[in-house]
Amino acid sequence: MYNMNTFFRIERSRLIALSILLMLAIALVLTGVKEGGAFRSVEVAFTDGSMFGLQIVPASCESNPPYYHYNGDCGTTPNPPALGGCAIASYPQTITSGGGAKLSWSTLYVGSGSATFQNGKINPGDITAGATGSRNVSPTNTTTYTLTGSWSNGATFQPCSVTVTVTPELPGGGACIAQYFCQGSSLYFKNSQCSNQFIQTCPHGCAAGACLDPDAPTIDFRVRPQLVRSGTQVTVTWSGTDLQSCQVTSDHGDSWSGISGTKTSKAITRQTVFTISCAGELEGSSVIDSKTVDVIPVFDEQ
Amino acid sequence: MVRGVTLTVVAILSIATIFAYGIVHGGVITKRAIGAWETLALTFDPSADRYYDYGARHFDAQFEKYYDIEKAQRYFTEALKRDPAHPYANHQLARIAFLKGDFSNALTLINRQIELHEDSVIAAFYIRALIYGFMGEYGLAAKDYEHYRSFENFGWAASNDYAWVLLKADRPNAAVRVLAESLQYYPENAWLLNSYTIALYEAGHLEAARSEAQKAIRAARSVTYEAWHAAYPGNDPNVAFDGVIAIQEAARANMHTILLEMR
Repeated sequence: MYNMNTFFRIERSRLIALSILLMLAIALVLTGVKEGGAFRSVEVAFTDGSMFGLQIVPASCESNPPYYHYNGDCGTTPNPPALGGCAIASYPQTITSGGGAKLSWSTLYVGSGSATFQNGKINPGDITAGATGSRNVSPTNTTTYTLTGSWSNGATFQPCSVTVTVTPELPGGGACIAQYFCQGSSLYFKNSQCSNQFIQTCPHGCAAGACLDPDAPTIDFRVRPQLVRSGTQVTVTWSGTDLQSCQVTSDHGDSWSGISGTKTSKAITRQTVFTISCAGELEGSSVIDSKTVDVIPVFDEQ
Repeated sequence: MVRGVTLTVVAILSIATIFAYGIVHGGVITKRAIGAWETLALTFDPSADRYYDYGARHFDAQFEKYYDIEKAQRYFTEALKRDPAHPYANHQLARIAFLKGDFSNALTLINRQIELHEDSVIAAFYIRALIYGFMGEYGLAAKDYEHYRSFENFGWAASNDYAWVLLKADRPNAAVRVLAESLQYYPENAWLLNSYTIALYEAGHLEAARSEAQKAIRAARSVTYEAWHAAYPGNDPNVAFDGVIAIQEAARANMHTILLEMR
């Protein structure tokens, strides 16, 4: 006989069976969904060999267009808040006593109409600040720098601040920081034991702990006179700066070398072109010049 | 009533199954849910800006579950279709092409970006310099780094990468100068220290190179996955391990070379 107990037993069985089937179906569908492997770009693990085979590792921190990169991580001008206002950052944020940091800031107006930033000041220091900018500071104590100003339309400008922490201790617990430094045109190296070692005299000056590169070469090339009677010789002089070598030639057979000189040419009997070609001390640089000497024509009256 | 109870129980069990699966394989569920939401939102607002914003979201390792470079590319492409003069779409597509190693296409896209927007998106010159560098066009890369640095003279990566092309052009003294200045502000930066090591070595300052190499090794050991992603934005969140290993191994290999030379 079919009664309520039987009915509920049957329905419960169907319920359990249906549930199990449904869960299996869902699981099958979801496990069929494949996630792709990680995307490995060309710059992951990329290194480039230097001239002597060391491994240079380029980065790409500053790739993002404005307002989309990690604020401050690359050291570029910090992004102002998306809702408007200002942002100010310091690089580095911690310095040792006597060191320096760079403040960098930007502003953005977001509101009705338009407005420009004015009366910008960074204190302490009474630093005049434009809408965006940077400035070196050298606080002797931990200092909080605040950017204030106003919007030209009278809207409220919210100041922003950054703290530069000054620590009296050198990193590494009191030892010297090994580094190069300049004294005049001489390059020295201070090691971690604070001992100075003379490296070299820089032929083109010294700055920021390194010899400066030579400048691009220049030459002063003269041929005198440039209008002569046939059979006359001319004087060729040349000199310059940051030259490694020069070669002077003419299409009349003259040839001299040297980074400077004064020479007398062969007798000029026709138009003659003198050419100077110099290699500069700066790797890959060169400079060329030429001068033409003309011969006064002789009229042969018939 | 029984059927109603049955259906309710079945529905609850279905949701529980999906939820349990989601806990184990959360990425799939989240990505699917995000995708569905984006499709819905774009149906109502298929604007260039919305497409671009979604593209940017999928191109950011900060949001691991969102990262999907193919989807980002599709969204940026759609943004560009709707606004051919979009301020950043060509830039982002160029970055994606670069990351995929398609330098020719990357160059075309970034040139279009620069043609449209010139210096208003100065990072485009940085991207083009990177592309040129990876193509081996170090002279062209140097020019673009110089132009970029005339606007943003403070970013550490531009200093590091400019030094890279200077070193490739056999100008180690110039590289020393650039890196020494940047290290004043980023004294613990592993990339700068590694490049500085190389520049000093190639400029003939072995002892100084050895000293900087030690600092570079220490700094590279401290590079976190977050720091690596900040240094290489747009990369997959799951590749940071390989990237961190690369800078660490480069620093160690350079020290080895220096020590061999000093023997």
